[in-house]
Amino acid sequence: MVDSYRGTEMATTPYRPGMRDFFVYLLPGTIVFAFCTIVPIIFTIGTGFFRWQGGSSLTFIGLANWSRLLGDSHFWNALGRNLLLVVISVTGQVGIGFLLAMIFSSERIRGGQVYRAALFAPVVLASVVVGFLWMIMYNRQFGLINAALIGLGLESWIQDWLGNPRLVLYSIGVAKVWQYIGLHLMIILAGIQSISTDILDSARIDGAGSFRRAVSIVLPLIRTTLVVSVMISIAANMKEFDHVFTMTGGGPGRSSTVLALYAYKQSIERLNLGYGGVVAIGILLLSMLIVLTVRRAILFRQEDS
Amino acid sequence: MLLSLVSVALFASGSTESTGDDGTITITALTNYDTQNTEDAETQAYLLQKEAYLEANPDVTIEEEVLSFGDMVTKLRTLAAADQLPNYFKLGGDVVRPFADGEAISSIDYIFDENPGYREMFQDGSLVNFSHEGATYGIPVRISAHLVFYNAQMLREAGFDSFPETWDEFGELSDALNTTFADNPNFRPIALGAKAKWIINNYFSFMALQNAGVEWYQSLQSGDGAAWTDEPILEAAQQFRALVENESFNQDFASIDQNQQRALFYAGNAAMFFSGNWSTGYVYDSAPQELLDVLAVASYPEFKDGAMRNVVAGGAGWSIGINHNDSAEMKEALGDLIPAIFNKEWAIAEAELGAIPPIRLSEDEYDTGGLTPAARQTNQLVSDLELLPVLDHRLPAAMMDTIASEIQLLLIGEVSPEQFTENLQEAWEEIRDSE
Repeated sequence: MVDSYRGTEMATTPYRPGMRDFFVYLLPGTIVFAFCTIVPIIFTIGTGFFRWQGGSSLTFIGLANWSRLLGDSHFWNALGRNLLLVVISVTGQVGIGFLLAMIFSSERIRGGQVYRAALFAPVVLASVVVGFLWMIMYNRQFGLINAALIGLGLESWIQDWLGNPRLVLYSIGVAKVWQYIGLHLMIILAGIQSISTDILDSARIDGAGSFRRAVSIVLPLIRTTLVVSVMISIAANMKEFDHVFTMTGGGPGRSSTVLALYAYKQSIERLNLGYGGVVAIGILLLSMLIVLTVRRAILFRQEDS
Repeated sequence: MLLSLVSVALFASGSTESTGDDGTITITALTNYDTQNTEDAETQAYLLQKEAYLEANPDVTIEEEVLSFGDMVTKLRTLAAADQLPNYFKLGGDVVRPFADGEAISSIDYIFDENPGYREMFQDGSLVNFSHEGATYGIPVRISAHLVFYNAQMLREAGFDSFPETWDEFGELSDALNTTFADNPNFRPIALGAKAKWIINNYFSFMALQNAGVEWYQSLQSGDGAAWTDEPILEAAQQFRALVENESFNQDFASIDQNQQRALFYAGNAAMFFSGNWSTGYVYDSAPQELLDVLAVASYPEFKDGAMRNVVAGGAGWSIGINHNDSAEMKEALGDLIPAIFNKEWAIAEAELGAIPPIRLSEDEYDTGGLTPAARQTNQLVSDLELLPVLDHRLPAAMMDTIASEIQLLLIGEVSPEQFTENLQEAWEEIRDSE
């Protein structure tokens, strides 16, 4: 680069911030991260060694809470419910999101932006609002679902969707899929649109049909995008609380009690704050384990292929 | 750098004191006394008294956070965990013990000591739910009575001129109602919102204690041999389950709450719902007039051979408590405020608006002219019948949560009555071992 003012040549060197600059620019984010994430985690781990029912008086009980977690069948059953929600959500949100993304990436679709906006609208709703909405829709006597079944002559299909312990998690899963399909549609569509059209055109010319192009070309090329989508879905469902709390409160019985709700019940309803904190740490560790395992499995298959 | 930030956060603390340099004092409070809640007698009586107190004490400001009942319960427990309770607040009997042991709340005995005669104004037994290890932690705010609100016209059409007194008779009523209103596919005798745990806990509490007796409960608490697997408790569980099998409850009982249960009753899809006198105001505010014209109340049906007969479940479940961290100056201010608000005038206001105050009143001390028919019936029931304690008011919160979950499983047939009682006993032993 020639500095025309001084009439000299200057070597082009990239800007390398010094330690002071690092400190200044990272400080605000570090403060927020520390107080919103690190401090609560450390505090929660600490209170896990105490029997604490509120107030300022804590009784040290050593590892009793931690050992209780390992043998707590309610905790592990709740984990099972979270995993079921993960399966429902990944299948519904990512699966249907991928199908819709393939459709919207087609040039033959007119007004795709309108459909995308309509599908994305539930994403911006508060989960509590979605929970209330679907709770009303699922109402056995007045709800839209059963009214539609009556209208279709399918009265025998009418259920107490949130009162049947065998259906309740699937009912909640449907609400969650409905809410977040739009999010995964947008993520996956962005990945598909980043694929060079030359590749897809070549495949079409070679005689590959839509299904073959989707499975053999699009899917492998957007694997990294799918990893992101799946990770988001898993993380969101491992910390699921709002929909369950609003729609069922964890019932009937404990049939929809998920991990976060179990932690809440232990801490707030049963005033067992020390153990509730241990449950929360358990959720954190299990979620990290699951997310990292799934991520490694997906990326390992990518490397292998 | 991160460690220093963490350290600051961990050791930071809050304060509840606010005294101005000019001698003004600001008192913080957390209640569910919403000014929009014009149908609740307890709320209206408190607001009247609070307004009068503030007029008489211009140097006092009350910063009161008002939430719905459910939100208030959650926030109170959260604030107690953070040791950030306001100066005074609504305190449930089920949390007195853990909050007292955890030093979140302070004894209010000093208020009684400074106001001779104040303690004696309260009805016998109304303070016991807020007492722990010899100290009293709350001023009760009302006496609740668990009632059945029923449509007397529907019962007459089914051939019943009065509400049945026993569960055997109730079974006959339930069958008769189902037959009489068979044309309505949505009709069931009882509207039940089992999603609201306190509703099903109330059912079970009454059934269990009426059948087993208060002595059973006292023996359970003291570890003198009573157990949740005892025959009267099993009978209560079997009776509760029988109500489902006899189609006494609406089909979606497991997924609706107390508001939806009332809606079923208002819509004529149920002949009754089980609740308490705190619902009277809501019913008179929301129910259609033709329903109010035939509305009546009764105590829950009883086991014919139960240990206690002619009883109505109730008592003082909620009180006003104060923060353990309040300074001496703040406690002095609260020592003036509490007797000034929660006094005989407050009790008269509650009684005239239809609630049952915890302060003893004679009939000629308040005007009954404005009482609804349901409130009059309630007062008559409470004066005629013996008051039966409520488990919700006395047992640890953890045990009540377990009971509610197990009742839901019992009602949907996931556990048998025998397994239900065994699960309760197991949970009880766990809770006692952890104390």
